[in-house]
Amino acid sequence: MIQPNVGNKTAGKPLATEDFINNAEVLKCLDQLNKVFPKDANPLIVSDVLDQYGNQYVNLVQKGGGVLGVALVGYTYILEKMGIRFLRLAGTSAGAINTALMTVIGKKEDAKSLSILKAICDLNFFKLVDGHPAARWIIKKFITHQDFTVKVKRWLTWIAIIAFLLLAGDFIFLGLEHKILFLSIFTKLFFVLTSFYFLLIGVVLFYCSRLLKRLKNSGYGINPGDYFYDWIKQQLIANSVHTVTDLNAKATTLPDLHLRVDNPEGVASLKGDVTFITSELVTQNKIQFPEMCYLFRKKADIDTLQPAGFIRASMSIPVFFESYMINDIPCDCDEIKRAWMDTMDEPDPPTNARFVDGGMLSNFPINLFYNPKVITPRLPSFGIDLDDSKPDNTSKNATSWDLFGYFGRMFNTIRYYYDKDFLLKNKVYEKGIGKIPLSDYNWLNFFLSDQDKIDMFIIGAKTATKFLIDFNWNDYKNNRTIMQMTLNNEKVSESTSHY
Amino acid sequence: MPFYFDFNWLYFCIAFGVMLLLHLIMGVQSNNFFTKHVVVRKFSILDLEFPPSAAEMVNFIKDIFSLPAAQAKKTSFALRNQLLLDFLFMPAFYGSIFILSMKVSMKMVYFGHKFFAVLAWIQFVAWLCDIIENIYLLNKIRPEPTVSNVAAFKSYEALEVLKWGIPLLASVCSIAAISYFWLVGLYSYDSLPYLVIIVIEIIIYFAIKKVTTKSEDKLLQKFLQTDMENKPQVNPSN
Repeated sequence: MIQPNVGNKTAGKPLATEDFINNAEVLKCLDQLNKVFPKDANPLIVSDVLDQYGNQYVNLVQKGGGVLGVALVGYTYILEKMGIRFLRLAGTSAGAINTALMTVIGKKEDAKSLSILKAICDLNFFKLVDGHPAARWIIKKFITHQDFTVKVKRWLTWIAIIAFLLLAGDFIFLGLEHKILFLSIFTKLFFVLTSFYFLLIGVVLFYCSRLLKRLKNSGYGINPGDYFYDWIKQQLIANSVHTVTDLNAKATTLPDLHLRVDNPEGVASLKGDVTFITSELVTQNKIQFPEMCYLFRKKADIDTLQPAGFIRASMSIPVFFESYMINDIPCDCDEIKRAWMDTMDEPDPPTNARFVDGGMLSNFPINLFYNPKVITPRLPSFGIDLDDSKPDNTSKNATSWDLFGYFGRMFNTIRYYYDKDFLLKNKVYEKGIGKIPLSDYNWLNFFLSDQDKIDMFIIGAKTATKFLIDFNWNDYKNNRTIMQMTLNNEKVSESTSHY
Repeated sequence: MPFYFDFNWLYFCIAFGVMLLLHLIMGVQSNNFFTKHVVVRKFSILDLEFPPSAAEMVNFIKDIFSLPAAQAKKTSFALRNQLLLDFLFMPAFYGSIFILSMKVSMKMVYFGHKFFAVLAWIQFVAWLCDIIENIYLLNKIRPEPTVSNVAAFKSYEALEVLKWGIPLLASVCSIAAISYFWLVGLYSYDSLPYLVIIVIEIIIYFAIKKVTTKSEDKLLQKFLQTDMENKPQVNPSN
């Protein structure tokens, strides 16, 4: 029998999957679920789509959120342990990473979270911050020390005071040495010290200017993101995904599925797929990979694109990571021109595409699973939301924002509204969303301790447990059916009123 | 061998002039320094001298060779030539600072006298570091360079600190001391013509520099025109 780890992870030992799954809190979650949903008396029902092993299938969208993605694994671990598997997968940024791994590892009917945990245990998060050592140092200080800005201000004050004192010394001793001759030694000393001091300041300023130039040359990305690219590429290759074709094959290959109850849509039309969201800056579009590969390569050349690049593109947090580029797009080719025209209404396809984090446009792309043709859903669309908003009220006080706060609110209003708008109009989808509370964590803190990772995993597991207990498939199904029928009726009455 | 030398300012003017001339030639060579990291862009020799890590240095060199063949050859040729020309630049550069520090030393007394003489002599240490650095880089600049081990790279970083730190320290301290002598009137009239020569040399240097320097955009445009003749291959990493 597995002994639960009641306390914290043993210090000094490398992080192992057992530190997560054998944690007392996680075991308690599973125990609670098994008690609420005993297999014989009251089994958990979340979907009408089943495979021959009794697994239930749902669609899953995972939100982006930097290192908070660890919590996503805790959430999916519980879902998988309760026999839930994923037909269609979508994600942005950190959600795209988890989505990619869930797609490529094993088969659809296999549980994947343990393998993902293993990959996380083996990954040194700090190595993802692969920029210049000076930039890494600054990022680390700013993220892990809340009072670092105060410290920097204090340093700058001292630099100014010392400069003033040295210049004052030059001035005073130069004047005095005309009357007191031996003071010329101090004058010389102060002149040399002043020069040396300003030399040091000059070197620091020159170094900073080099760093800024480097930032400009790298397309305003502090970290190249090469370490992540190599890591995710290795993960894909380790699971036999070398090309886009391999990735699509993994995403679409399904086991034998059947329906728990009859549905007019049947089971044959169900398909699996995977979607990574990214933002393309040249043409200013939201791109869904791998579906939209045909915009960047001719269909025959689709495998010249690297699937690891899609995930790299999706997680390119602007400024923190360099943009991901797809070069040499055959923009003169008719096939490509037609694709851009049909999809994006763009008559002039670009030669190069430059991608940044999909979270800029759609950090929680649950709208991908919206299908107006299906009246009665066969399976739900589950979503995992990472909620890192601070519970304090200061951010809601519009008069208390500083300049950064003001721009931050504007930026967030723009980037969140696209997904929020869909959920406002289709409220029933919210019933499938579990919101993981992570306000105590910084999404850019790549310097997480092992205990932080475990804690986030536990929070994810707890949220999933509460979600499954509260979720009622029949209610969800009925609500979605009613919603879809209402929407369709409204459409019909709208179109008839026009005539 | 004597520890102190009383040089004539004329030697400094000659060394300084040669240094400026060679620097101009090296500047023209650097017009061909291009690399391809995400996009084609210009780089400076400082990018190679101060890489963040051994791996990034190698990546940087590989990026140069990922340019279309003709351009990669042009850049690597210019880079190698600049490193070779640097061997001629070194005696002029370190020699100038040696003379300058020694001149200051001869005007100083007690500790200052010794301190500036030491600053002058340690220019040879910096020169040696520069020679080793250039040989290291000349060996590295090839299509498939190997990543240096940690010890080698740390040594390279230390060389860079010494190579830049020693002459900077000596020149700044010497200029500060000379400024002091100027302010208190401790100079001879005989040295004033040399000051005029140095100022003229600097003016000529900046005038030629202005004529020979082209904007990065223009250089890139010129490069891209050359590039058109050598169509790049599809990058499989995409």
